[in-house]
Amino acid sequence: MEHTTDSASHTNRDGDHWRAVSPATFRWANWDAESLLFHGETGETHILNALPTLILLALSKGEMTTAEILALCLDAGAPSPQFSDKIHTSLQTLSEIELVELAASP
Amino acid sequence: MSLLLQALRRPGTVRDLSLSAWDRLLREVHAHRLGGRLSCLLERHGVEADCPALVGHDLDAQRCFARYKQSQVRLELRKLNKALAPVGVPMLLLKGAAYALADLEVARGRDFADVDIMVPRTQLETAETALERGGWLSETRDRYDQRYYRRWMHELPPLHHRTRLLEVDVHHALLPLTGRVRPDPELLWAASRPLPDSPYRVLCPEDMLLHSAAQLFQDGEIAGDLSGLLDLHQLMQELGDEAGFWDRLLPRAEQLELGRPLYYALRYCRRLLDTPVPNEVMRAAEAFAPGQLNGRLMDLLVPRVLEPRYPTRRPAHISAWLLYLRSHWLRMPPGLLALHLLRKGLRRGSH
Amino acid sequence: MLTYRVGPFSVRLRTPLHDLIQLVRWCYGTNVDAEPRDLALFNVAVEKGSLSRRLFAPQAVFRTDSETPFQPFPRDHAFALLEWGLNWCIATRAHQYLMLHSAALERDGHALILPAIPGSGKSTLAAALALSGWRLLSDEFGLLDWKTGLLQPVPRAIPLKNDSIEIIRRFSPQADLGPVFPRTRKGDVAHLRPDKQALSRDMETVRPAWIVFPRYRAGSSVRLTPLPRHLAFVRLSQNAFNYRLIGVAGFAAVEHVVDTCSCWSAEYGGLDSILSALDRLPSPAP
Repeated sequence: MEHTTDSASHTNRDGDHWRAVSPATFRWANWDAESLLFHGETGETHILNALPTLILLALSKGEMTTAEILALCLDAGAPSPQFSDKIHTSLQTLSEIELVELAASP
Repeated sequence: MSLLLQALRRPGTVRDLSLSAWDRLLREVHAHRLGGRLSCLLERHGVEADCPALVGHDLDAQRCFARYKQSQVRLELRKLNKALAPVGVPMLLLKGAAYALADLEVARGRDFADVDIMVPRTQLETAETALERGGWLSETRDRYDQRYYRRWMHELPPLHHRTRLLEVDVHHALLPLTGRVRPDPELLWAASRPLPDSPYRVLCPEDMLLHSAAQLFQDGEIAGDLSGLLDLHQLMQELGDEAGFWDRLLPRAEQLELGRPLYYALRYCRRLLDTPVPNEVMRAAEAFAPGQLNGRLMDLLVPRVLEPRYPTRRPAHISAWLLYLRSHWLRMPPGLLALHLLRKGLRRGSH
Repeated sequence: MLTYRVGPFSVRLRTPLHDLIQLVRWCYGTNVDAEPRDLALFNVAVEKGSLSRRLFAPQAVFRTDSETPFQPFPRDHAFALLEWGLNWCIATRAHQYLMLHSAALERDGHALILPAIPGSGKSTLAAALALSGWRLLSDEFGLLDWKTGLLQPVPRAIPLKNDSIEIIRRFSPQADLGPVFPRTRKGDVAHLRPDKQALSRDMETVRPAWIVFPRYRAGSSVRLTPLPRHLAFVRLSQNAFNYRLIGVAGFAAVEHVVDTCSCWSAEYGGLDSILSALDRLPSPAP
């Protein structure tokens, strides 16, 4: 996938507020560890593994900060400190494919 | 009168069609690519159950073009906003994109070829640079063409993103700079409205209708563009319900120098599609009428060229779809198919 | 003028070519003139092409109401052109179905979906199955009605290419093959006519039970491997002509069919062995 200039990619701060893009249009199919997601807003189908699935499911319920997402993932049994990098990368990629976006801070 | 025009004008009348009349109607609908819109109209008037099963299934199936296209438009707009918002360029949505995002009746089943947005003229270069950096390419490489657009046109040469198919037209005015009529973009911006829960703006209702009229009767070829007339008809029906719309319409047309195209829009919508234009508005619009000879000529020509017939040119996106199908049939290796089903970036990003 | 039914679609054909009309009658038998003539979905013509060209090499041109999607074919290949043209009509219009690029056959009320990938030998396999007690639902289009999840038959002539023609002749003496069209753009082509049962039961929809992605490899023994559902999803959605176009309906249809069928990838080197393997596929629980 091409990388383009993306406002979300420059700033990954723990205080950022994230939200899912039109989560009402999400449609999931789950088999084993792989999830397939249809996103009605963009008409795209995505295949996702555990981490982005977890993040998206959480964000579907409401806005969260990066720190809250990290806490949630650690809670779900994610190991190690460098895990926070993976979450940042996941958020960034999810943002590039228009599944999540930065919300204006309240 | 053609069966299609009759069906658009009074959807209820399809109840009385014979099988062979349905046969003819089906062909006219497909020639004009209006299947999706007719299907929505029939449903709205509660007569979709009166179609023969074969016709009902076929019209219904054509709606998916509209839904598919609208999701692509939403995606493209999000991408455009991500490129333009950081450099402070506001986006005003025009035509189909505006109808779809404002969730207007006219967007239902409507299929469109490209995304049209307007940016302030003073920020045109900023916008162009940002889009270039964001991966949009100009379809016109030719230096002469580029100069032509910049000098004479009301929009940049068509753009498309290198990873997507949809064409993007970036306007800074409504009509070509060469034309006699040049509505002042400042006025349009000043009257525009923010679209709720979105970063976009749309034209105010009167301007939306005036733009659509200008497109068909000032800028367009008219011929064969029944879909353009149907836009006007449906816009008048829906926007006309807003308090004060008809009172504001004519003064606004005068202000924007779009009286003539508005006159034609009112006249031919009423004549061909029986659009409910208030009598006093029609009378007042006579002030914008052309000279007698010209008027007679238009009366003779317009209904004739708008009457359903088989067009020779198909919309760009249909061509793209057919090309896609052709490629599928030529047994391209599956990896080359433009399905974008697997997002590699996502996999890479999440391991 | 000729009206005939191809599964759920009705065709009105105008053509001055008598040989072509005869072939259509030979192929579609009882489904010719079975429909009212007043209303047809596809209004098509196969014409003779321009006079100047005709003098040198007779041509056939396929037209729909408002378009001519292909270059002219040599006149002798008019039937292949017509079949190809109808594929075009279906693919551009029939979005009430998820259109799989797959063969589909039925046994004991259950449908088998055989998606085509290059080198799958799909048509040969479909022909052999149709000659071995399976009912042919379709060769080119697996029409999955996304409102019901059922497969809609669309029995057509199966175009066999090059070596496959002889393979099927040898496979079954009952194979009812039409004339061989030599040197078409896909090589030599002969059509296997759908049998009476396939034609007369073409409005009986069937619930899918098995999805098998076949791959032919010379000399290989037959091997069926279970396919994880998420992979079956990806492969089947890529196999469909209009997956993206129909949006969430396509997603839901693929999810449902993948979820309710047993999904396999199959490698095979000979018809007999793959046929008996497919015959042994366990029937779904009632």
